[in-house]
Amino acid sequence: MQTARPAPNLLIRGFRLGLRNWPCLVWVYAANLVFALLAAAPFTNGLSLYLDHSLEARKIAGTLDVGSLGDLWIQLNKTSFVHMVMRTAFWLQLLEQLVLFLLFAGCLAVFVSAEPPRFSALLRGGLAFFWRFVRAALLAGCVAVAVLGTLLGLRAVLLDHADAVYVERSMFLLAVLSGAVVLLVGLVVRLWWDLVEIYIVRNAIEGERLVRQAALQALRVLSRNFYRLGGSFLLAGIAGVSALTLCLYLWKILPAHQVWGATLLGQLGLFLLLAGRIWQRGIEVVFVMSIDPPRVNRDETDEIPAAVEEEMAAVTSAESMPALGDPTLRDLVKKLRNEPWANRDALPEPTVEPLVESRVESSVESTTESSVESMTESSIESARSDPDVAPEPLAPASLNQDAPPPADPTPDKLDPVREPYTVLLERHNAKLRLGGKPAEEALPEGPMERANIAEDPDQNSGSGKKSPKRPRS
Amino acid sequence: MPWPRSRFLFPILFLIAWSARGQVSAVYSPDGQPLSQRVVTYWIDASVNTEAKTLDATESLEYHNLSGLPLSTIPFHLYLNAFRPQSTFSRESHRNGLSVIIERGEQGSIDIRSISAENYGDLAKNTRFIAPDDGNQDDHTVMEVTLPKPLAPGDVIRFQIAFHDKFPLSGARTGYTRDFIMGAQWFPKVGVVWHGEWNCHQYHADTEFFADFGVYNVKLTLPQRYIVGAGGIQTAEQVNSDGTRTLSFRGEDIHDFAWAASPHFEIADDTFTNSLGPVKLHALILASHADQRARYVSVLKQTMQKYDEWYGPYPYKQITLIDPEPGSDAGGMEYPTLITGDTNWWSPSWSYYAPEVTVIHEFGHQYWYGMVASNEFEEPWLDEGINSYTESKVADSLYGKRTSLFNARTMYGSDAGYQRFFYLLRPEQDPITRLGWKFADTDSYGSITYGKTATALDTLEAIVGEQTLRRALRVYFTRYRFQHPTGTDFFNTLQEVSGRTDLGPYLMQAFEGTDLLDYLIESITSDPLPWWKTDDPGPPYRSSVVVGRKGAFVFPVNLEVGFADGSKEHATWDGVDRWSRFSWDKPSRAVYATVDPEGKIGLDANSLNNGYSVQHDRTARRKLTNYWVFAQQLLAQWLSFLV
Repeated sequence: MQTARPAPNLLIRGFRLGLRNWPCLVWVYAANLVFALLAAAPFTNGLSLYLDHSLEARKIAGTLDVGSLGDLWIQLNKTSFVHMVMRTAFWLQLLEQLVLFLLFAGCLAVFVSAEPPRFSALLRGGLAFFWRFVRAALLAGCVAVAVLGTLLGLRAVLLDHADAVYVERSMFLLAVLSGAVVLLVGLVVRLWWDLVEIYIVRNAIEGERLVRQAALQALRVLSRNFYRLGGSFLLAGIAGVSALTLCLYLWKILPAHQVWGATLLGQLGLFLLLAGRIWQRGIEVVFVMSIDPPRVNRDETDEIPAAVEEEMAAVTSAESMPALGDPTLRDLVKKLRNEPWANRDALPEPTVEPLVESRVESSVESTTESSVESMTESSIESARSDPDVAPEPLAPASLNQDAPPPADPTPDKLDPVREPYTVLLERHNAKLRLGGKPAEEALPEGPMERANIAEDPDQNSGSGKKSPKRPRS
Repeated sequence: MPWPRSRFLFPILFLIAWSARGQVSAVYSPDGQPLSQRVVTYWIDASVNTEAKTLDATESLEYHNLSGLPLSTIPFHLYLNAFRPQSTFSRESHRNGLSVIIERGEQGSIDIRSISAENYGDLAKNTRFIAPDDGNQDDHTVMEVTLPKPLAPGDVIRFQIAFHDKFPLSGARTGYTRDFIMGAQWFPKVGVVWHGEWNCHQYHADTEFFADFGVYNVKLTLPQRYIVGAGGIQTAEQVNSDGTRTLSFRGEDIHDFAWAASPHFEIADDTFTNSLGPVKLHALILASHADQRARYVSVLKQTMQKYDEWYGPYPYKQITLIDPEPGSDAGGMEYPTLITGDTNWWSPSWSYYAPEVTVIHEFGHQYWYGMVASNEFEEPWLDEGINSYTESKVADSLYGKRTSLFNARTMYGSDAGYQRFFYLLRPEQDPITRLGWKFADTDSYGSITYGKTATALDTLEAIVGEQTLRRALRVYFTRYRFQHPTGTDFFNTLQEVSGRTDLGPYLMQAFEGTDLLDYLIESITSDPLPWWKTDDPGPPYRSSVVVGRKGAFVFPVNLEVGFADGSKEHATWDGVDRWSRFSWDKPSRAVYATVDPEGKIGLDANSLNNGYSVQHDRTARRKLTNYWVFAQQLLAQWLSFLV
């Protein structure tokens, strides 16, 4: 079923994923810029009183006279300017962090679901996973404090002892090297945390919402693919920082009075720095979704044609995040949950599980994995480019929200074994306005809600499927 | 008989030459006479334990009572006792937020093991600690010896003192860091009879110097691997069998003696020839700063050249420059014929002149403190302030007036600008002439003593001219070197040399007062002469400029007004009123006006309101806003990465 293919290049695939979802980058950058501009409003208004008509301001406008700048600072400190500007910046910074938190979560949801990267989708994704991401952040924070705190303590002891022997350049190098080690470990923690967030989104497809499980999965994946994943993560980050550095260098060699040129270069650098971060996220998503795609329920007895399986894997990873707020989606999920093939307890272990596990274990060398990755990505593309892929329409009864789940559901023109529910959802999506109300057949909207509802135990009650555990807090 | 005569003559001449070798002079004296009134002569033989950071020494002190008064008590500085938590220095440091002793953990101390005097016997029971400045009985930085009988005017008393030092972990000026030891304020030093009474202050957080001139003969015994730099000149070296060596130093016409030792020093000697003769530049640079050796020596030679040219000759035969251990807080210090620099391994020589400015400043102290030995406790501005001013002048001449502190592609800064900024941080809390330990805190002390004094002298140039002020300083130096002048002496010299008898109001406001000087352009208007006509009748226009005074400090200012046709008008305002209006009838409108167009009034507390342009120019604001926006975005991105 699997054919040997060349090992995928994570950097390129992550880059492509980020590139295809370029609106995510634009939205995050826009938020970053807008908040900074808001914070700059009182700043620039305050400065105008001192600088717009001052002849001394020419020493600031051109090559900067730090004496004049110091004079300005002294004058500003005599008023409430500094206090007001700093307070505004502080609160806006807090608010921006909240928004960026949402948007980055939304980016991940979009990356995983392949939903069109609209702002509404970003927000929906961010809101859907907000509290789980908060829990993940708290968990990561505890881990970071424990790990980095220990390392920083050891570093302090090391430097304290070294201070008796080394001075100046050698001491600086020692401090930098030990700091770099701590930084690298910090980056590994950050990478793990990123993976936890991705697994949170990915697991939602399976109805799993335990952050703890996502953390363990992320740890397992990271430990087994440390160098490949970490190396790609690091390279993307270095690329972003290098781009910023280059822009700052160009900024520096601009004539001092060319404010607009400096502004453009600065913004370009910041944009590229952010792009590096999005790239990192793309790398992580591609990696996770390729080696550990979401599991779907299938009948083990049936032979699934390779083409269907390919599509399944692809669509599962790409189109499994329902949109929020569409009531018809619940019917669909309920119906799907009540299908015998959807009852995991009633079925033997799905064949894909050991397959996935084996892929995880041999992820670095496995050509099998590469083929799955290729399938995943190509299918994401095909799912986008060709939303009207084959499936038959659903039976109207299955879409009736009030109707009880059929005791012996019989698919209407649909073989649930051969046609996974995600394909149905994809077709459903094709007939529904994104983010809007049901169209002709009142089918559910997007993939985002599907995951959301699948997590709701109330919606799962009586379905016969084992309800996913609710987190205790 | 020629033979016998020649037979004995040679050994006699040899002995005379040998003894003269031991008494080689450390100074250039044109008439062979001492340069100073040598009140004290010290012989100190010290052995340094570099492992325990301790020192054991015997000190012989010969004190000449030249005060004209009988002296029944004699006070001594025991300044290493300041490095104890109970001391006034620690209290003041703690008050200033710098708990040097507590944070650094190790204390310093000096114990008098024995003290006696010829013809006076054992004086150990006649000693007590006094605290003349704040009454802190736990201070222990001043010890008073009561003599059984008064020391008559003109008499000499010879003390024999044995003492033990424990150097503190260096947190301020003296002590040790790793295997580097800065030996400053390390021996019992007698106070000064000044204005008819003893002047012997406690050791304070900001001030520490005032002593009589004399001769110092010091022997230091340390392990052989240590390289030692000290005040005066080295006269002998003896290698001992126990792995140590004893170095002998002699300093003449100096009022303090300091030394520094480290096994990591590398010697970089050079010679500078001034108007009196060659001066040995003895630079001890840490091996980790080897690449900055040339930088140190070069700026020292250039500075000596400027001081020799502008203010007078450096009469000592040697200047020792110590490059202190990183983190020792011993950098940027001055002692007679010995200074400490301050640099670090990354300091870029192409744009950043802080190490050079440090050397300029500390060498300047050889003049304003070393030779013109004013009382730093009571009038610290006379050495730190004047020295900061001359530092700016030398730095300006070496590195450019606008770029004397740093000169990068995108920004620049001057040393005078730095002094002004320093002043503006705390401009109106204390007057310049306040007692050194009576300032509100260290920030105010630094801002006023260094920044305001230097800026006030800079502003004085606007009245008397730069050359006149330089000449006045030269006269002040020549007249008061090797003496203890006061501020009054300085002001009198200034008025005498400048020929200006009207300097009083300025000197009073700038040095005695705390008022702010701030002039501004309040408004510019240009109206047609027939202003009542509704349509613009065109030229001529009456342009009016209102100049205002915000601060209480009164100072005459120049006014420059520019017009649209490129012409300019100038006026002078005595600045006495709160405001004044100046008007011109011209064929074009006024486009800008500025007070102090040449930027000479450094004391003006707000230069941004000095000039007003009718047309607004948002470039500066946009530039700073761009920085702010960029910083906000970058911070947000990094925080989002962390969160």
